[in-house]
Amino acid sequence: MPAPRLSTAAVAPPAPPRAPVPVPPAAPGTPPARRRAPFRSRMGPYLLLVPALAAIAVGLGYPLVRQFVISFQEYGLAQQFGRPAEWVGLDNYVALLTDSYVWAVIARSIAFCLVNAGLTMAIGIALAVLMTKVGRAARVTLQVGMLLAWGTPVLATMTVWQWLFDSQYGVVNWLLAEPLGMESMRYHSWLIEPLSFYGVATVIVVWMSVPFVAFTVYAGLLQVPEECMEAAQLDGANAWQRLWSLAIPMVKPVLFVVALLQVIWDLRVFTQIHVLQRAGAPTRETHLLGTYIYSLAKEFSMAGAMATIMLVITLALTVFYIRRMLREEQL
Amino acid sequence: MYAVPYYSGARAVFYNKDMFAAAGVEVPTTLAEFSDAAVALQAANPAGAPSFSGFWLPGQDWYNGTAWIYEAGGDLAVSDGEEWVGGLSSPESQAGLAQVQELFTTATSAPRDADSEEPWIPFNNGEAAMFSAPTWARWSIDLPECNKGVDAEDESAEATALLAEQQACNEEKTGVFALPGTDGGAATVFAGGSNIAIPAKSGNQELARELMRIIFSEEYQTMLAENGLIPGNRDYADALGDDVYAQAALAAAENAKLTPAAEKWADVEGARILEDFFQEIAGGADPAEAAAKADQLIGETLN
Repeated sequence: MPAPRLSTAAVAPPAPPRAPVPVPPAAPGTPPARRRAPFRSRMGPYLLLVPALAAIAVGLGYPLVRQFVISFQEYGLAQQFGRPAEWVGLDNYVALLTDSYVWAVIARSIAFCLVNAGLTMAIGIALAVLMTKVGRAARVTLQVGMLLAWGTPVLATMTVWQWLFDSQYGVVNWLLAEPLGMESMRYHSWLIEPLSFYGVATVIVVWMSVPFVAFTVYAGLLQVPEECMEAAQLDGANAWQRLWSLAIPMVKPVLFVVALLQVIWDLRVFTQIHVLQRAGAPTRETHLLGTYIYSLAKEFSMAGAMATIMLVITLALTVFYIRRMLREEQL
Repeated sequence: MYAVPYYSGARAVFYNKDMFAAAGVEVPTTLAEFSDAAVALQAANPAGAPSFSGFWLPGQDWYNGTAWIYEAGGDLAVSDGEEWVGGLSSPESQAGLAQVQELFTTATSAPRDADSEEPWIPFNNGEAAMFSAPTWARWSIDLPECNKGVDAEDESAEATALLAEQQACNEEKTGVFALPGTDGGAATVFAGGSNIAIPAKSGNQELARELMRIIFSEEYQTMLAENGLIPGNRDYADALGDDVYAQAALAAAENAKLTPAAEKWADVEGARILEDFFQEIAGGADPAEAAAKADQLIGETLN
C-alpha cells in the first residue's frame, strides 16, 4: 500500500535539488546590465583567467602537443642525442593497433578500470551512508581511518602492502598458514598469476580510492534537506526507499562527478601496478595501459602514440558522463 | 671510443662455512660440483629451517641464471651483422637452462616471485647456505650468532669496536668463491657495472673533461677500489686488497661477460623480458617453449 504514496514522494523531491541550480544562470544574467562598462573593466575577468590558462598551457598543453607530434615521428634514443626525427605518418599507430598484445592490454585495462571504479563507488557510497547513521565516536573513527588511508604517500603504502603479501615473510600468508591452518598457503605467491595479481591490485586501489568517494558522497548526503527525508518518512517510505529513491537521486550530480574521476583515475593507474610488478609479477602478462606506455618509453614515438590512443579511450569511456555534466550545468 | 669503463662489481658466491661443514660439503671447483653441493645442502638443511635453500636462486634472478647459459657456450642474443636474434633457443643455451631449471627445482626454495635484490636476507636468517651477489654484499651479512645488538645510530668508540668485532665474526663464518666454470677456474658470469662518457652535445666539454680527469685519478680510483668496486683503471685494483673478497671479485671479473652489445639492449631490460623468462623456467615451464617465446620478444625489441 505504501507504494503509490512512495511514487509521489519520489517524483516530488527532484525539485529541491534543482532549486540551487537556477542561481548560476542569474549570475551570468547580470553582465548585460553592465554592458556599457568601459573596455578595461570588461576585460578584467578575462585577464584574471590568464595566469591559470598560462599554467595549463605550459604544464599540460605543451606536453600534449609534443606527445601528439612525436607520435607521428620516429623518435628514440638516437633522436634524443640529436639525430633529426623522421616523419613516419601513421606507422606507429598501425604497428600498435595491429598488435594483438596491445588489444589485450587495452581490454585488461578497461576491465580493471570498470571493476575498480564500480567497487570503489559501491563501497564508498556504503561507507558514506554508514557515516550518516552511526554515532559521533564511530564516525570520527571511520573518518580518521579513511583520512590516513587517503593521506599516506602511495609509495609508502605500497611498501606496506608488498610486505603484507610477500610470499616468504608476508603477514597474509602467515595468517592463513598459522591461525587458519591452511598450510599450502604458507609460501603462496600472490603475484605470479595474473588474475590473482589483479585481485591484489584491486584490493589496494579500491582501499586507496574509497576515502575520497566516501567523504565526497557524505558531504553530498549532508546537503539533502532534512524536511524531504522527514516527509518521505511520514509518507511511509522505509529507510532503504528513502535512500534509494530520495537521497541518491538528490546527490546524483555528486555521484556523477566522483564516478567520472574514478574511471579516469583507474584507467590510468600506474604506481600500484608498477610497484607490484617489480615485487615479482610476470611483467608482460600484467601490463595495464599506464605501465605498458612506460615500458615503451625508450621509444618515445611509440609511447607517444600509445598515450594518444589511451587518451582517446579515456574520452570514449567518459564522453557519456561529460555530456551529461555539461547538460546539467546548462539547466 | 664511445665511453670508458667507470667501475664494475663482480658476482661471487657467499657461503655459510658452518653449514658446509654440517652437510659435509667442500667448496666446489667445477660448475657440476657446485650444483651437487647446492642439492646436497638443500637436502641436509643443516639449520632445520622450514624453507631452506642450498643456493638462494629467486625466480626472476636472471643476473645469476645467465652464468649457466654463458658457461654452456650460449648467449642471450647474437647478431649476424645486420639483425639481432634471441639466443635462448640455441642448443648451448638450452643445455645451460636445463641445469638452471634443475637448480630451481632441487637446490632452492627461493620464491619464484623474487628477484636478485637483497639475497643476504635469507642467508642471515639461516634459510640459505649460499647466495651470489657483488662482493660488496660482505657488508650486508649479519648472522644472528655474530650480531652484537649495536644500535645503528650509536657512534661511540665502544659501538664501533663491537661492530668491527661483529664484522670480523661474520667474515670468519662466511666464505666466498668465484662461481666455478664447467672445466674449473672461474665461470663466465654476468658483468655488472657502469660506463661514463661525455655527450658530444655537452655545453661544457672542458669542465666535463676535467671531471673525467678527477674520476680517473689515482685518488678517486683508489676510493672506488677500497669500497669493493673494481675500478675502471685496473692499475689501481690493488686497493681492493688481497683478501678473499678481492680475490673472488677479481677472479669473477676476469671472465665476466657483458650483455649483448645491441643498441637497444636497454629496451630488453626495460621490458623485463628476461625476468619473465627465468620466472617461467623456475615455474617448471618447458625451456624450449619459453625460450622460443622470449627469443621472439628479444628479436622484436632489438631490431
